Amino acid sequence: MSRLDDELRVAFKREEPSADFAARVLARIAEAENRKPAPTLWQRFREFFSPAVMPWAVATAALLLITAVAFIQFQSRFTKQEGAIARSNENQRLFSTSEAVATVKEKTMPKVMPESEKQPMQTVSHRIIKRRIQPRLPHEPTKSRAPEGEIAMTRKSKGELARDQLYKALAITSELLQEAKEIALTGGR
Amino acid sequence: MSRASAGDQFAFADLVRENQAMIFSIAYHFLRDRSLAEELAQEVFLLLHQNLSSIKSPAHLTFWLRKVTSHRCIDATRRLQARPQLYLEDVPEPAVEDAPTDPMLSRSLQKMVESLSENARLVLILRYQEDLEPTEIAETLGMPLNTVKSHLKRSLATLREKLSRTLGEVNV
Repeated sequence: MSRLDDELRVAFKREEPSADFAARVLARIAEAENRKPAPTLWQRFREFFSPAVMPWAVATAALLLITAVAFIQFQSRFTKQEGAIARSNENQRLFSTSEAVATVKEKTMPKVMPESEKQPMQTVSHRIIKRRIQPRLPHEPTKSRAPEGEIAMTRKSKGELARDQLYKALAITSELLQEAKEIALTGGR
Repeated sequence: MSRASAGDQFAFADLVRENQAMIFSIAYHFLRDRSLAEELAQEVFLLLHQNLSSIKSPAHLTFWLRKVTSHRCIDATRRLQARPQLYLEDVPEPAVEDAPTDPMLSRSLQKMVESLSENARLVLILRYQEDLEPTEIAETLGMPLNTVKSHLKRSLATLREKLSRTLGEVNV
């Protein structure tokens, strides 16, 4: 420790301020507090999230969240119920239509015959072709007009053709209805 | 301190009384002006009142006060740029040739210290007024330790040389 060190310690010894220093400090603090500026937006925002307010804010947010979730679930369940009712009604209508189609089919379709009794179906056109191919005998007189029976046969065969087409259409409709019913039952899966 | 943090004005007044000499002396030795030093010390205590909640212990309080006062001193000097600066070479040498009495030597030393740079002055004040170690000074001023040591070494060498020249054969 040199003399310079000692002299510096003496030169820099602590000194007291004026006697009323503390009182003046307190007065300045009081003055500063009295003219405190209005809190800024940021200060208000920070105050809002102060420890005293935070639990209430959290509780309110949780309550809102629970209410929102419950409302969404209720709405979803209600929509599902409405959908199920609509599907059931649609199924009912499909069943009715299907039954009606089946009844029509039953009434219009010929009764199924045993295999042994079945004869190969020969349409009028077949018969006409057969007749045309058949060679005419020289002594056989030329017929100028088709006989009455043949005309009746031609008309009958036309009716059969129409009936065939109707059966096909009914079969297709029936299949389509069946498919629609399955889709409605399975929900398109 | 906890009572002062809770808003007890009497407790805060006690804190002021306990620390006012330290704060005022740092400011006074740095600025060499009593009224400026008191003004600065009051500002420091106002800041302390606003930041009391962030102070964790008495040791932290002392550290915080020294740090804020040091920074405020530098700020105050910069605000007072118009004030004429005194350089070491311009300091009038004491008229007396004899071995000086301590008060005179102290006054000479103080005037010589005024001519040092701001940081060097602060380092000397904290070293000899507050008796802080270089590591503590470095922490307080936010300065590298080697810079603090360098300031101390150079300042002391300058002061020693100047005093030797001034006081002749006096062993300093």
